[in-house]
Amino acid sequence: MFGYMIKRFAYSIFTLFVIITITFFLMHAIPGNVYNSEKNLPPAIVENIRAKYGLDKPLSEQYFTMLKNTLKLDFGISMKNRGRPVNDIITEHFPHSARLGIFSITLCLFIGIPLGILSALKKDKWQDRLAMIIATLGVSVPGFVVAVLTQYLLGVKLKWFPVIGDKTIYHLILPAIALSFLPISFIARLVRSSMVEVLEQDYIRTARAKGLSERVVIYKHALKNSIMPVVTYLGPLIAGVLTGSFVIESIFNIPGLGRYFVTSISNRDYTVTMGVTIFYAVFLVLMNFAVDVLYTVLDPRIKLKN
Amino acid sequence: MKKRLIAALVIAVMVVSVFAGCGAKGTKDNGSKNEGGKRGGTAKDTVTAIFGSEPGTIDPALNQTLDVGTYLAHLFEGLTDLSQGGIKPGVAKSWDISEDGTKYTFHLREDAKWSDGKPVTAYDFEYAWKRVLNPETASPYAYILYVIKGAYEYTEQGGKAEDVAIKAVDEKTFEVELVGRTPYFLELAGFMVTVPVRQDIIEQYGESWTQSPETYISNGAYKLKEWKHQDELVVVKNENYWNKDEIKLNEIRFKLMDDDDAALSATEAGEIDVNYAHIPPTAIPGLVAQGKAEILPDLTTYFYDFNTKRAPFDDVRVRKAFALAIDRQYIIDKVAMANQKPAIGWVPYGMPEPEGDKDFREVAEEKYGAPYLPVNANVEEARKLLAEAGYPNGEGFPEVELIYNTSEGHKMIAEAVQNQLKENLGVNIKISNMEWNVFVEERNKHNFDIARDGWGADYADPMSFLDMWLSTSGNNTAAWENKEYDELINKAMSTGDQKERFELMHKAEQILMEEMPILPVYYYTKTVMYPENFEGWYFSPVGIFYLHRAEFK
Repeated sequence: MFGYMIKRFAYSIFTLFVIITITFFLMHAIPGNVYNSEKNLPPAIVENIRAKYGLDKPLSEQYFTMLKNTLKLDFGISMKNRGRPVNDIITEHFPHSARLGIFSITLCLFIGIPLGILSALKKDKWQDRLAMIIATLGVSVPGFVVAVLTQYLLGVKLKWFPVIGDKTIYHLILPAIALSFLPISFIARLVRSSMVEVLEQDYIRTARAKGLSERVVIYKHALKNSIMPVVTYLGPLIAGVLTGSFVIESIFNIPGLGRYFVTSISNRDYTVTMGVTIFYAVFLVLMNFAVDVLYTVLDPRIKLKN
Repeated sequence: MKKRLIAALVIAVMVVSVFAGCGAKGTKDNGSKNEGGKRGGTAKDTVTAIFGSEPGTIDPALNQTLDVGTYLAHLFEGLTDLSQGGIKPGVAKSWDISEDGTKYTFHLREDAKWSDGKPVTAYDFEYAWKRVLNPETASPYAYILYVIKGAYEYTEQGGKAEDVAIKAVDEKTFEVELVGRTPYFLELAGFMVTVPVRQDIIEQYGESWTQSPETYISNGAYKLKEWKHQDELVVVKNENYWNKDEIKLNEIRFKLMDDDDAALSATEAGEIDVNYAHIPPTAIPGLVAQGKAEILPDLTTYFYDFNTKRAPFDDVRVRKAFALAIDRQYIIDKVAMANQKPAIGWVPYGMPEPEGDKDFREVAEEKYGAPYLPVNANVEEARKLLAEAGYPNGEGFPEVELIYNTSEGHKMIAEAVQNQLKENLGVNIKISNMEWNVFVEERNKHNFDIARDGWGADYADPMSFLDMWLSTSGNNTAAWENKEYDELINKAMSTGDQKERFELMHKAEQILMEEMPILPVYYYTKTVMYPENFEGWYFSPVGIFYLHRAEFK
């Protein structure tokens, strides 16, 4: 286990290094500049700005400076949001994305899994059909459509929910629905198909033959094995949802990190793009690792070895 | 078993750390649960308004957007006060202007104070103005002060700060010498860029002085209370403001949003009181018809640049043919849909003339042969010109491309133009979109055939529109050069006689419209929504919304 963890750690560092390098050079390869605007600046002033941000230095030098600062966990100061350190942006805005994300993931699990179980148990009955129609809708209707529709109907027209912001849990309900509609559907379908398969396995028949109650058979024996695909899906899902969605955050005006990530790219705000990318990458690597560890808990047959 | 325990522990630690990381700040940010109830209802002395999205900066020297200009108008006060229409004394209680109109002496009022109680002095102005010009500051608006002696040399030619004719004579006397007579200089003295800033603060905190209310010391009607990034910028009444008795609202919450649909939803749900120009275009006709929104004029022109350095647009006949072939009214009625006015010239409506109550456009029509362009298309004339240029019925016309920055609105207008050129001239053009940043770069490098463009006035004078087409101007995106035009504008800039100045500017616009380096489409409007009982605000011609004397009746 520990040997595995060390090796895994080394791989993660390498992965991060590759991500950082590729992002850095891609980012600088896009045409445009942070100081581009409607007003054309005189060349002398452009030179000053470039010198200030070190953009006048050769790209390789900028790259090594960036690497060195990254090791010190210093992502520099935003070029567009004048005077704001990137570290501040991350620590201030990630919690907003994460709070909404945790809420959405909870919704995903507590609605998606039961929906899948119900479908599997009532296979080909009307409950199954209904659940799968909902799931198909969820997979095919994009999140922003759900967001705009619920915002208008439940927020503006019926006035059941506030329209913008994330001050209270109450504010989070609409964005969480929009964010979790697709994963709920996906999880429901995953659980259904693997459950249907598991229920036909020999050990389930054995469990039933032993005279165990249906409840124990389903929740103790069947569910544990049919949940494996969900665990696989959960790693990237958590990383994706917790780090924030640009579209949902914009529509509900939630001050999350997802908005900064996207706008920093269109602003050519190199320091922010780099800092947030590294932060996301670390997060994703951690989540994937957590999923691997979770496998061993759920399925003793899986061993984490070299 | 042991292995599983460790595994479970690892996960537990990770999960807890994630949650802990969120909780710490989350509760602090979101602890104010009961503020104004769950619907965010607005108290009588607080207004919630939307003017723009998260700003890059609220530093007066670095800003170049109108939304931040609006916040700055509430947070700072310049020498003159433009918040009620006309030019009123601001920090300066009076001023003297020399005979030849090139030397201004401002006398500052004794009771003008900063939000921390210190007096506002002429030295604050000297520091602020020179800071704008300092090439190290890299202010996008430095050029607007080039009317001052030595300013251009300091910013762009390596000149010295001491040689700029901006001088604090004593604590309360401020002197400025200009290159030539500048009739709009008093307006400039109240512009968002020319407000005073604090040297002690900026030298101590550097660029981050704008980041917290403790260091963001201002001298206007309001002071910064809180800047919740991507959420709202909250300002409260400044108790140290000399004219505070005239200020009605105690607090203004400037919402920071980037989605117009969401802004409209929030306005309709009552979470936002004043919505200025953050309404999706498709919703505007309906809202206006229901009486929920009002359309205000705006000193901004929507146009296209021709690349005058590149064939076929190096031929004036081709440029004119294109400009004549566009049905402007159709584009407004069917595509833009917010009661814009057809751009039948370059300078928009609403620029006051020195005499009488006519504006620049009306006088152009009376005396100078405007309208220069038809409201609907003049197909016959356009075809004739194109044939003269060697492309009868569009035959043999080279493939040209029109570029615009990615946006649904710009796309629809570009498609309409493409269609009309095809129908009216038989010319096929390609249209393509580009991401904003790339687009600006291509346009500034003159790497295009036709490019979308827009220009708004910084001050209510036609010069704000005309000096950009000087061959030396950095904003001359069409790469157009005309000696006669340059001469007329330079003459207008230096003449002391207002009447002559306007004559020269009219003649310059005539040349511009004869040469047609651009294709004006329409004059913008701004759509605004506000509660029925919200009164007393003032909307300036250059598009700043002053809430200083506004209140809920």
